[in-house]
Amino acid sequence: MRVMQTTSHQGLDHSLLPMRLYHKAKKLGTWNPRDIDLTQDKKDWDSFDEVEKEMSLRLNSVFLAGEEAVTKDLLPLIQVIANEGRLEEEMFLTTFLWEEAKHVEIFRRFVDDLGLSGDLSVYHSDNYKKIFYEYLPEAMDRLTRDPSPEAQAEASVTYNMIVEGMLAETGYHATFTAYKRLGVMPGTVQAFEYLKRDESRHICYGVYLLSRLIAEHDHIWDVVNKRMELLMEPAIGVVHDLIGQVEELPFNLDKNELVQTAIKQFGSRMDVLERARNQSVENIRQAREEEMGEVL
Amino acid sequence: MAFEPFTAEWAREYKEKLNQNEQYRQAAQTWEGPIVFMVEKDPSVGLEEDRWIFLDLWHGECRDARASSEEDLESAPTVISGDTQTWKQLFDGQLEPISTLMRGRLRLVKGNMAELSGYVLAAQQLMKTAMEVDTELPEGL
Repeated sequence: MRVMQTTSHQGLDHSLLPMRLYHKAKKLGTWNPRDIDLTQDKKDWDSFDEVEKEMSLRLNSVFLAGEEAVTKDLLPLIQVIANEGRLEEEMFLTTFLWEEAKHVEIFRRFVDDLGLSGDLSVYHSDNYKKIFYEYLPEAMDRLTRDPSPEAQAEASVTYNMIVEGMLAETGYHATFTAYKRLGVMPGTVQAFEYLKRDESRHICYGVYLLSRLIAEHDHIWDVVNKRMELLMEPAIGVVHDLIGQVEELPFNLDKNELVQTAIKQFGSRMDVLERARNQSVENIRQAREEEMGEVL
Repeated sequence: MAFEPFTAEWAREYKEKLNQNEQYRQAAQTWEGPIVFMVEKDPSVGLEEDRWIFLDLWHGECRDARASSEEDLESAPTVISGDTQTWKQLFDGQLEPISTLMRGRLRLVKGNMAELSGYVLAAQQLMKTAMEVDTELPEGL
């Protein structure tokens, strides 16, 4: 017979990192994509030259499809965590999925409100397809048959470390910084502020999950490393496909800075994960958000 | 036969293996220019000076590989350096090459990471081939 956690003396552990992220999400993740005012953005868009429009469209296409992919693919992980009886983590993951859905909504709104049309998937390069059409859905779907720590680690590396931690975070940061610096697309800038904050919590959970798995089973560190090594080529390839289209990037974007940002994020998260090898599971469960890389 | 790493004999063996690596040849089709791999001195294992090899790489081919001179070090546009422990862990398969480079355990002391990152697959094969050379690590490591 099942045992109810919340009616037992166990209750809910509010000190757990995922539970603290859940409380944060209730305050910070409740923004409404429909409330974002895109009136000025439409005017700014109309004043963009062809190169600026092309780059903005390309970015929006990869962001939009990326958000759709992570919304579609998260459920098996939630099911695995629920089956393991980790109620607090499951509670956070409910906010996680809801937020991903809102991210899909806002990126589609940009397309609809700016009056754009056509098949935006033409902007998905082979590297992009390798990650978002193959590696990500395969790793997440595997969890429906195989909930092992190894499968969880491969799924989380793909989802949280590469897709969110390297690609989305780098792309969002670059777009946000570029528009904000130039004082254009204010609605988009506001949305990116929210998006970055949401993603920061998601990535924090991913670092937590991987740290917990590594602390529980030391060999998971090797699984993480091998998966990273496999995904690094197409992941860096996605960045190069985006920035390699033109000699000079529009919006004063710096190619070198973009690549460096992606690499820096990868490096700092790997350092956190490696530290987990020498930590107890209890320490990981109580870790501060900053220790897991959440800064927003 | 095993060779001490980063020596002339080791470099010759490395060149031979690299030129047999079809994956490297494909991935490095547009790679132009030499690269230096360096191991930093470590007197505790008898390595009194930095040691490095110079690889002349051109469109998927290794045209030359040699235990290197000061001139080579200065002329090479890309220099990657690491301490003895890091190289040992790489040779033992305990570290993954690209992650090690991106995390700064292997340091890019000269060159452009953004440019190099455009050749991840080639760099991966370059490093993997080095790990395939029959290598005899100094005692004490």
